[in-house]
Amino acid sequence: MYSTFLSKIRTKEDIQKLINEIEVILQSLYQKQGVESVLKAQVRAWVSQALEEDWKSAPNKEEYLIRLKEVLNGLKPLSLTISFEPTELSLEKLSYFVKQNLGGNIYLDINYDPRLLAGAIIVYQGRYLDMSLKKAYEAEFERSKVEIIKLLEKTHERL
Amino acid sequence: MLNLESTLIYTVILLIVALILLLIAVVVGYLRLINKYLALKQGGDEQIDPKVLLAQAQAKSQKILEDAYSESKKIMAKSQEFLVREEGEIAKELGKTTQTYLNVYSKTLDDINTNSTKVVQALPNEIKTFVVTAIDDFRLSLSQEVAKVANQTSQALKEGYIKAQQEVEAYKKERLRQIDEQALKLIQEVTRKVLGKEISLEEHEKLVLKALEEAKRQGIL
Repeated sequence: MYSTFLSKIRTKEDIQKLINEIEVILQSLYQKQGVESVLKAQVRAWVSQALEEDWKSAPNKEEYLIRLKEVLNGLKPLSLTISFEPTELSLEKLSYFVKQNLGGNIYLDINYDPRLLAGAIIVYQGRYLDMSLKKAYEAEFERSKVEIIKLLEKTHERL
Repeated sequence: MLNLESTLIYTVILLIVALILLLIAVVVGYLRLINKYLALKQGGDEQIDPKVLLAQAQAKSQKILEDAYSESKKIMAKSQEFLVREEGEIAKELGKTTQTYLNVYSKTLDDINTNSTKVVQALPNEIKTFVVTAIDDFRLSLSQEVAKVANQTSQALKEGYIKAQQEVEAYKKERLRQIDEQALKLIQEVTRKVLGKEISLEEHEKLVLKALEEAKRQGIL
């Protein structure tokens, strides 16, 4: 039932934004202005459309919205620490991969750390994986350190 | 000396005794005269003329005095003789004693003189020997001390030099280690920055997707 919304959710910010809109709509249910004006003026177009579509088959709007909120709060995070600030397209690509491979109940918790150089550190349900370039670089640097030190020592001898 | 003194004492005593005797005689005579005068004064003998008595008394006293005088003269002469004789003896004894003492003193003086001369004559040699020995000893001990000090100084200098060298080496090593550390950090930082800048956005995306695939393969996802 909530597939449209879930398909649009990529990141934690998306969830928060949607929940905020649901809050506004919920409040509008008991106000004079009515939910229609709120849907037109205070929520995004695709949200309004998706709600109007789903409300056709959901008699109780309030219950629907509350349930939607619960579903959104129940989504599992995939923590992804990356070394660049992603564009919309980047987010789309990453979100698509995650939904294709893990299902629609997961959102991306993106963190930015330029020290990683490239790649990502992934944390999901307590499991951790460092696939950053930083790790590989440091490992390689450690191996090369000995040669660098030898080079430096040769310079010392000249001194 | 003792003989002389005792002789003198005896002489003096004798003189005193003589004088005392003289005095006694004079006093006795005078008392007799007084007694006679008193008897005459009381009218005991009318036949004697007072003037005659007086004259007789005078003559008697004169005689007594003269006798006493001659007696004392005799005694004086005897004592004088005794004195002269004893003086001679005393002088003789004094002379003997003086000569004896003089001889002893002379002999002692001569002995002292002889010994002192010997000592004084021997003194330069002894002093010379002593001084020479002392100088030799001093020279020897000085040489030993100088050698010892030279050794110690040389040793101390060597040790000091080695220690300074070690310290310099240690400092050099430490400084080079610090420089190496900083150089490594710098190299690491520079390569990191260069790497970061050289990777394009698309490459970043690809690498992240690769990481996700690897996570799935390892069962993380």
